[in-house]
Amino acid sequence: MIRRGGRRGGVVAAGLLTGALLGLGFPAPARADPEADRIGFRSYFQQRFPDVPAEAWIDGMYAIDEGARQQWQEIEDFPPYEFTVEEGQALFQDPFGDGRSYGDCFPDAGRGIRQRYPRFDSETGEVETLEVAINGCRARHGEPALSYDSKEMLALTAWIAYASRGRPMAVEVPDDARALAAYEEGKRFYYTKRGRLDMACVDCHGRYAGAFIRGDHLSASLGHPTHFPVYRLKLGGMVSLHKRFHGCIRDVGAEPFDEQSREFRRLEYFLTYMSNGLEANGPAVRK
Amino acid sequence: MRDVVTSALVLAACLALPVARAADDSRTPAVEGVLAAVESLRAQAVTAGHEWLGTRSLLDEARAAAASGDAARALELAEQARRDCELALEQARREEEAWQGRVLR
Ligand code: HEC
Repeated sequence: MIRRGGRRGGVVAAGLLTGALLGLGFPAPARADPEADRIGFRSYFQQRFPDVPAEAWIDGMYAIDEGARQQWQEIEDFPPYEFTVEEGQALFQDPFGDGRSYGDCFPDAGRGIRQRYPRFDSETGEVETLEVAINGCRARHGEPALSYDSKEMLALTAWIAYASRGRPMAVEVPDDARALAAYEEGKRFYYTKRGRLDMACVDCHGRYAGAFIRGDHLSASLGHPTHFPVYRLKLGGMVSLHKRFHGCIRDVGAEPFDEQSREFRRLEYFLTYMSNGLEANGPAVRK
Repeated sequence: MRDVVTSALVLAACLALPVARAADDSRTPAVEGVLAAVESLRAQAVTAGHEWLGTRSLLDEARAAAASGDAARALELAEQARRDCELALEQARREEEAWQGRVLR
């Protein structure tokens, strides 16, 4: 059983050192170690797909499906999310009732900030996603919250993603027991089997990544959070990352959690940390 | 901590079992009692984060059947929902530790 937070530093380091010196299968350290997890996560895909550089996974299944990639590239040349991005920029600049705007809450007029979300909010002790931060800003300026699947929310997140393209994902898990616990819960969620099909995220997007399922190649989880929100051709509209989580959980026959639920925010925290270092490249187009 | 929670869930599930089983008994208990017991099992699956899709609607249908006076149908549906909840709770219990064996590295 993993014990969260608590003891760290010296004791763990000494233990690791002893384990290393003895060259034995020393038990894994009791505390969460996101950076070791990230390196392991990445190297798993690198070993399985030696010809696919980690950077390529930000394009999901198109990293491995050459045929589909060409079609997709043509669509990306005239991206169907273009209008949404423009709308988002206008919304971002639109003054609130009190004369302020989102620029008062987010640095650099909202440019180059996507890669830092989700972040750990040490005041609330919770994981703050970009969507939650947007609604937090609205609340501070006397505006009602946007629903998470509203056009406005998706336009705002689409524009912020667009204005952050090319920045390497840089999510931080500070040395705070609550942040480590949140991260660990997200990790556990990702690896836990659920529902009637008794499947975990890692089954499809880890072990079976690359396999063909219902006309699609399964993408790797590596690079999933870099490109949201996504314009889905199938739906003719934008979807959030949490909407995708929701759909995949339903598909395994489990009751899904709500968008921006604690569970999904923590899952996003873990998954985004796993993609640290990969370029933010949202919004994107998918089937 | 989690072990304690799990044990509590398992215990609660076991306690709820005979109530639901009694549906097959000659002295059929009030359908309401069975429905309430299964509903509390479902709540435990929710707390464990493992509720299965469709269990809610099974229970809703069972309640509707009970309300329309079809006790046999209500008990049949409640039994299906109960099985769902038990399997979901068993899954939650197994996953307490099992997930760690899947970590990519
Ligand atoms: C039964 C297999 C299966 C499981 C289990 C599953 N998914 Fe998926 N998922 C898919 C398929 C199929 C797609 C569409 C093809 C693709 O992009 O991989 C998809 C797509 C996605 C996408 C969008 C990918 C992109 O490039 O935009 C995300 C994000 C995602 N899944 C996350 C998850 C998470 C998180 C879990 C666990 C809660 C999960 N999935 C569990 C099958 C699965």
